[in-house]
Amino acid sequence: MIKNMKKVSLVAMRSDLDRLAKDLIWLSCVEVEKCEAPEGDAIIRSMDCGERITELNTEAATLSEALKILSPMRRDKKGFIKTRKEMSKKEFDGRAVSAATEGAGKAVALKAEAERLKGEKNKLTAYLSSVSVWKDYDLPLGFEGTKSAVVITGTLPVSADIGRLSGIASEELSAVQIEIVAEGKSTRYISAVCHNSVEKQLTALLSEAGFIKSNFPSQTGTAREEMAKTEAEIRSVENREEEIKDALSALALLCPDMEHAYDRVKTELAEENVKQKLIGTGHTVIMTGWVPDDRVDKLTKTLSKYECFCDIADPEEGDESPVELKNNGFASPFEFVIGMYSYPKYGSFDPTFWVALFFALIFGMMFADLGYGLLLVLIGALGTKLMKPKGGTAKMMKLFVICGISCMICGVLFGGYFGDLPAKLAQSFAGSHKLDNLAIVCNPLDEPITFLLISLGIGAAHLICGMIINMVMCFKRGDWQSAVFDVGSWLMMFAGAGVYFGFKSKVGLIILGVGLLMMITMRGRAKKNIFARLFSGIAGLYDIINYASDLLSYSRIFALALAGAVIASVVNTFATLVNNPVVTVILVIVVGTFGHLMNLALSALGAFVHTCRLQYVEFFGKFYEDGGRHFEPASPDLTYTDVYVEQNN
Amino acid sequence: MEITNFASFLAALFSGRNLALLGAALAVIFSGIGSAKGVGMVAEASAGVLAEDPSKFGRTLLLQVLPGTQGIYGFAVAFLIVLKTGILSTPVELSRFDGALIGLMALPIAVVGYFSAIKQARVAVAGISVVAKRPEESGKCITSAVLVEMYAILALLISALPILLYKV
Repeated sequence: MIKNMKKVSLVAMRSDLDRLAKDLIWLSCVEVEKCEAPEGDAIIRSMDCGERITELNTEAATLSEALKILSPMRRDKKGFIKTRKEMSKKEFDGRAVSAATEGAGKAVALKAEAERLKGEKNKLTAYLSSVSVWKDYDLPLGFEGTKSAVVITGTLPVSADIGRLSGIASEELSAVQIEIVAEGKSTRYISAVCHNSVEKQLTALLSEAGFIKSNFPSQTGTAREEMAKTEAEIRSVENREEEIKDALSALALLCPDMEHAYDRVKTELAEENVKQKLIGTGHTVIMTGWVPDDRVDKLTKTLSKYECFCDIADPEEGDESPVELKNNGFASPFEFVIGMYSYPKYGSFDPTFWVALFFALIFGMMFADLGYGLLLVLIGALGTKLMKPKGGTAKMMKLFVICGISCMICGVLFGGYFGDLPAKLAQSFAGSHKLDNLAIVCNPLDEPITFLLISLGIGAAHLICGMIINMVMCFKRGDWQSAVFDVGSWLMMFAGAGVYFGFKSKVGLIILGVGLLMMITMRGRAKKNIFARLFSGIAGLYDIINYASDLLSYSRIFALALAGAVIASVVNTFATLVNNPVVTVILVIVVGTFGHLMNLALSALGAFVHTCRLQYVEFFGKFYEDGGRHFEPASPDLTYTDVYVEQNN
Repeated sequence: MEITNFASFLAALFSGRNLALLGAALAVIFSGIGSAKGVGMVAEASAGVLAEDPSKFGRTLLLQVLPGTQGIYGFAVAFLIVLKTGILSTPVELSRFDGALIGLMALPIAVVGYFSAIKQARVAVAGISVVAKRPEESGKCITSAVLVEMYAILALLISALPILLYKV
């Protein structure tokens, strides 16, 4: 059912605004609309909370960054199941946040410093290794020579013949000395001393041989001095890094506080966002929004505490009311499936119950297995118990439970117990074939045609259900002609065909004939020309192709059931391949667990998406009016905490 | 059969059972290659999205596994053929005609599986880019990708039904 929505218009005192926004947030039943101030109006203006919003956004970003930085150092959270901390509203509001925000700022700053130090350390290490090759060189590295002598240091490739070079140098240039300081893998580190009159010739000679000059700054000391200095610097950087690490792990103790602070900031942000949507004068504020019918009392009760004027009215034509669905405990998890497609238009039909019914049935058929069903139920139940999820995830978990139960029932009907595990075990241990077929109705592998026909039968029921919904919707709109002639005629033809083939009764042919006549004569009722009208009616028969292809689409139920059963059977075959009871037990446990879990994941996913498709394409195609906007009330934005509101006010 | 000359070698090679097994091999090979390519394509695309926002892993994973089903269908058909030949328990003597027929029945899923996996992957890759921008619309992307799978399912049915029903 789609909940009725009421339009709320509210004029309140500006001085109450902060308290009012907080109350509305925690009431979580009003969707606030963005009000536009009349252009050029001197008195009524849009509220501007941009500054505070920016501030809060920065704060939230710092907190989430700090939580990310500190998460590896936390010792209070174990395991990968995230639970939310429960606290009362009083505690949530009362707990101090300043220490946490300060700590978060510190953590972010420390992390930034650590990053900088890391870069510095890399640079120092690189420098150290570049200097350490010169450790046997006694002159300061930056020493460039005396008044009349020049010292050049640098590298030469190993291939350069140094003996030949120094020969040429001493012959042609005189007063040159070339020395090898160190040997690298592909280069030699050399120093050359010469008189400054021949410096140019020497560099030219050396560059020809592939010489690259080292460029140490002129005040650089000897290699040994530089090494000692750099090592000391690295040590001090490392010490500082250790300090930061300790400081961060000390800050990690604040994480629970930071999580609380994050939720507080985010909730305040939600409040500010509500305010941002309002317009106001100097002393009053004006708000418009939506509230579901059944929450109006709660809202008026809260508002009665304030001096304000509140008008609650039905939506007018042209209003885009948001859509909130309301269903019973069985169907409501399937609102998730509807939400994945699109919410129904406000005022149209909410098919959740029928979706739920057929979803569970089709999913169960596609995945007909007692064992897998049981596992799904367990996953859903444990997930709900351990994670205490809210919103979409909570619905998903319930969906697992309902679909799992359906799988279990179908598993008994169609003989799936982890595939054919009982049969394989009986064959392997006792050599008996007694357990080969446990199905009550039929086994998809042994009687594929029966199973296929059952699948198509469910498909027919699903499609006809969709058509009947369409008919009802047409009647409600007052469009009885479409209901009777466009949908009803097809239903009559199907019914007629069913009676004729099912009971071999001529009555069926009569019903079919009447339906056909209705279709041919009335489908083109909008057309004046009698021939155009008849032609349009006959052309309408072409729709039978659509119905046939829709129906055929349900053969996927059989296909997925088959694929799942075959994979399960493969696992069981491998597990019982060896003719030795002990090995078989081990294999069944090891191979069986691994294989069946894999099959569970793949087949459940396949069953899920294909059931969704049958709903979206085949079922919704018959009647659904999509495009509804989901009702999103302003509410506290809680990520890490689970706040319950005390009932004393 | 004693192998004495080339003709008898060929006759032994193309025995009924071997022809059936050849079909099984083709079903696994082609639908497997298609699925591997397909899943790979979608996985590559989603890696780009995950680099930006790792929290979208769940949504991209759903799209990633979609083109993987064709490989499973091919495998299922192959397994049905292997069961038919009985080589896992007591080998069945298949006539060359029966074997060839069973082997040929693997072709629909082999060929359609290969192409539909890749085509489906392309839809899924497009879906990944939608998920990157509007994660709430992933349901629609999945449904679009599933539309392509219809034809692999039809091929699976036409491959599997005759193999299940054919009496040898």
